[in-house]
Amino acid sequence: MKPLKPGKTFQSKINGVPQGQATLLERPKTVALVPGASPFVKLKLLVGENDTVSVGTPLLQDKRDPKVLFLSPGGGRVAAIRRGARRVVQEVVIDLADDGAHEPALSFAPISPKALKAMSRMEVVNVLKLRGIWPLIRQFPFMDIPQESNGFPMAVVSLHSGERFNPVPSLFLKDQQAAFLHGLTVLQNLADRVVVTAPRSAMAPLKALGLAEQVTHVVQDAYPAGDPGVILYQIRKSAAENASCTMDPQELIAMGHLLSTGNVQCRRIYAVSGTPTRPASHYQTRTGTPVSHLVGPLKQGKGIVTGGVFTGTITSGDAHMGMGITTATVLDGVDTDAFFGFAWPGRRLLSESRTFLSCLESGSLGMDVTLHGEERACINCGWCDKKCPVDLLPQFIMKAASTGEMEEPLALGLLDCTGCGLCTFVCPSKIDLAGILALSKQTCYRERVMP
Amino acid sequence: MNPLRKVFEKTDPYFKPPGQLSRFKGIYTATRTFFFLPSKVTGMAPHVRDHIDLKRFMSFVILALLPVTLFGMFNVGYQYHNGAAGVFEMFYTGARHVLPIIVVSYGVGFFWEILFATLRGHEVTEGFLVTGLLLPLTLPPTIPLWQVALGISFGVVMGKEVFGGTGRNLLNPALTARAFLFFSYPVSMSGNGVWRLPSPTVDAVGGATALSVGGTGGRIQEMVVDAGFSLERLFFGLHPGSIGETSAFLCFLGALFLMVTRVASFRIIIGGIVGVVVTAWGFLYLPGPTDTWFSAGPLFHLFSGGFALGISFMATDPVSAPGTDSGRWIYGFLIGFFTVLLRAVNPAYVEGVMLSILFMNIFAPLIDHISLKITAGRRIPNV
Ligand code: SF4
Ligand code: SF4
Repeated sequence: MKPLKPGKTFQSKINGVPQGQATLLERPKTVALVPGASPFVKLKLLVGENDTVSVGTPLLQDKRDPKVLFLSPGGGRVAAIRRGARRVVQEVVIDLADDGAHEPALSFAPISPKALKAMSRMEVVNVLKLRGIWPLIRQFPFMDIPQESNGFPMAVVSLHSGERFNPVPSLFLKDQQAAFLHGLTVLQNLADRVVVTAPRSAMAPLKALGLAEQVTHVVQDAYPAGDPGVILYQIRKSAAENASCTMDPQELIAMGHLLSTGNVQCRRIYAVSGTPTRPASHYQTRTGTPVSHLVGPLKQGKGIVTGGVFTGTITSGDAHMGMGITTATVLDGVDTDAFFGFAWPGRRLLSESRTFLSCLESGSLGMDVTLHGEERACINCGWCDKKCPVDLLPQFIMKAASTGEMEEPLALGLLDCTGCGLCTFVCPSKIDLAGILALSKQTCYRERVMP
Repeated sequence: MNPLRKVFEKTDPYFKPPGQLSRFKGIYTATRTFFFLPSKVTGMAPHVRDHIDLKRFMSFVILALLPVTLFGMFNVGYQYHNGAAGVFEMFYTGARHVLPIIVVSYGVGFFWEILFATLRGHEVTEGFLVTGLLLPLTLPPTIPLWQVALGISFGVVMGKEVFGGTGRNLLNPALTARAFLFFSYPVSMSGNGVWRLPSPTVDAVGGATALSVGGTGGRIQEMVVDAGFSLERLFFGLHPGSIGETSAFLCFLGALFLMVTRVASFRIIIGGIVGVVVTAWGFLYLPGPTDTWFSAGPLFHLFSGGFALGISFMATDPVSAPGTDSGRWIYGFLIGFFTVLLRAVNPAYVEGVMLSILFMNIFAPLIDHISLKITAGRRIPNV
C-alpha cells in the first residue's frame, strides 16, 4: 500500500454530500440499457420495440466487433428505443415484467477462479464480450472499448474518484467481497499489473470488510486524485503503459458476480447528492433505473447532473442511469443574473480563486449549474494549469489545437488529459477547455487510430 | 423587483435584432451586464462553474489601483501647493487636473472599444477598464488632454485591436499608448518642467525627478538625497513624477494584494524585484561612474521612477506576459535587469521600465515557446 504523492486538486467544500448509508428503493417500473459508449462506437440494435427480453438478452452489438454485446438489465417488454443526434441509440427502455419474483433472466455457466486461471487471455476476452462486460472496460487514452487483444500493461481500479458526491466504497463493497475478488482475478488475467486505489478516508472501513490488502495505492481524499487517468499519470513509468485500462469498481463487482454465479447482477448503489427532495444519500436499486425514480420528485428550477458534477451531463428525469454511472446530483439550474455581481463580497459563493470572502471561511458551499459570467477570450492568466492534475497547460493545448494541427497538442500531452473538468471550472474567461481538449482527442482518434 | 431590472426588461427588445436600436447592442449589453452579471445554465460538462469571471478579475486590478490613483491626485495637488495647503485643498487641486485625464482616457478608449466590438460582433471586453486607468497613471499631470486622447486611441487600436482584441494582443496597450506619446511628444513627456503643475509658488526646476539627478561628479546616492529625494520620500511618494508612479509603497501594496488574490503572478513581480536588486547590486561592484544611476544601488532603483508601478500593474498584465511559470520568472527578472541597465548606461533616457516591459512583451512568446519545449520534453510521451 503506497501513498501516491499529493497532486493538484479541487479544494472547496461543497454542500449536499450523500449520507454514508444505503437505502433500498422499491423496484422501478422501467429500466434501460444506456450504452453511453464513446463517440467512436457504432451500435447495431438486436431487438425491436415490443419484443420480449430477459435479463441478459443481447440488445446491442458493436458493429466494429460483432462479438461485443450489450445485455439487457431487465426482463420484460422493450417499451421504447430512444435515439439521439444522428440516430445514435441512447436508451433501450424495458418495461419490467410486473411480478418481481418471476422476472425472466438468462443464466450463464459459472467460471470459478481456478478455471479462470487456466483459461487463455483470448478465452476470457471472448467470455467477457459475449456476456456484455467488455464495453465496461475502457482503455486509455481514448477511453474506448478496448480493441487490441494484447494484454493491458496495467489495469487501474479506483474505488473512489475523490469527488465527495461519489458512492462510498465500503457501501457498495459490503457483502460483495467475493464478487470483487473474483473480478480482480479476471483483470489479473487480462493485465500485467492490477492497481487498486482508495482514498485515505476509505481505508478503515475497507479494513473492516477485509479488503484493505487489495488496495495497492492510497490516494488523497480530494477530487480528482482518484481519477483513474490521474493515477495512471502518477504511477506510469514508460510510454507503453499509456495503453492501460480501467473499470468502475461496481462494474468490476458485477463482472465477478456474473462469472462466479452465472447470473447478471442488476443491483447498483447510487449516490444522490445536492438538493434533492429526498435526503441526499446512497440508494440501492436496479441498474439503468429511471433518474426520477432515483432522485425523487423534482422541484421547479432544478437540474440533474448524472455522472459526477465535473464530468457528467445534465439529464432529464425521465432518462435512465447510464452504464457505469453511479451518481445523480440535483442542483439549481435556471438562468439568473446577479445585481452588481462582480462587486459582491461573496461570503457564500463557491470559488477556487481567492477573490471571494468565502476563501477565508471553511464552511461548505452550494453549487449550481450556471456559468457565473460570460465567455471571453483567454487572458493567459494560467489559472487552468494550476488545477490540472496531470500537469498539462490546457491554455496552450487549446491554442495549439485551434490551428487545426495535431503534432503540437500531442507533444504537449493532450492524450494525458483525463477530462476532469477542473480547468474549465476555474477559468475566469469561462472557456470550455475540457470540452475543447476532448474534441481534439476525438479528432486525433479519427485521424490516427480509427481504421 | 429591482427597478433597474424593470427598465432593462422594457428596453431589451429594442436592442435585440430586429429591434430599431440593435446596432447599439454592443454598448447596451456592456451596460446591462455591468449591472446584472448574467449566469446562464451551462451547456457542456463541467456543468458547475466557479463564481469568478473576467469582470471580477479586472475589478480586482482596479481595486488595487485605487489607492495609487487617489494618492496620485493628492500628490499632484501637494506638489502644486508645495505642501502648504490643507489636505482637502491639495486633493481637490490634484483631482481637478487628474480626473479630466482619466475621463478622456476612458471616454475615448471606450469609443474605440465599442466601435471595434460592434464591427467585429463581439462583446466589449473588460480588459479596457484597466488600460483606461493605467495610461493616465503613467502620464505627467501637465499632459494636454488631446494628447491623452491620441495616446489612448493609439494604444487601443494599434496596441490591441489590430491584433484582434483583448487576449490576442502582443503588447500591453497602456504601455503602447505611453510609448507612442513619449516618442511623438517628447516635450510633454520628459524634461524637468512637466512633472508638476506650473505653480506660482515653486520654480520650474523644482519639478525635477530623482532619475534626472546625476552626471555632475560626486556620489550618486548623496546627490539624490541632496536634491531632496531621501529614500523615505521616494518610497512614500511625495515628490514630482508621473501621476501614479511616485508612491512605491502604494504600488507594492497593490502588488501584494494582487499576489495574495492570485490575480497577478507573484513570479513576475518577485522576479522583477530580484532582477533590479541583483543587477543594481552587481553594478555597485563593477567599475563604472559613481555619479550616475549606474552606482545607485538596489533600493534607490526599486523606489524611484516608474518601476514599482510598472512591475506591479503592467508587467503583470497576463495577456502580454508569458503563460508558463518558468517563463514568468525569466520575464520578470529580465524586466528588472533591463530597467536598471537602461538607467545605468543611458543618462539621456533614464526611465527604463516602460521600454523594458514593452521589450519583454515582444519576447514573451519566445520565452513561452522555449519553456514549453522543455516541459514537453520532460513528459512521458503519449502519442
Ligand atoms: S486539461 Fe483540464 S480536463 Fe484535462 S486533465 Fe487537465 S484540468 Fe482536467
Ligand atoms: S484559465 Fe482561462 S483565461 Fe486563464 S489561461 Fe486558462 S484558458 Fe486562459
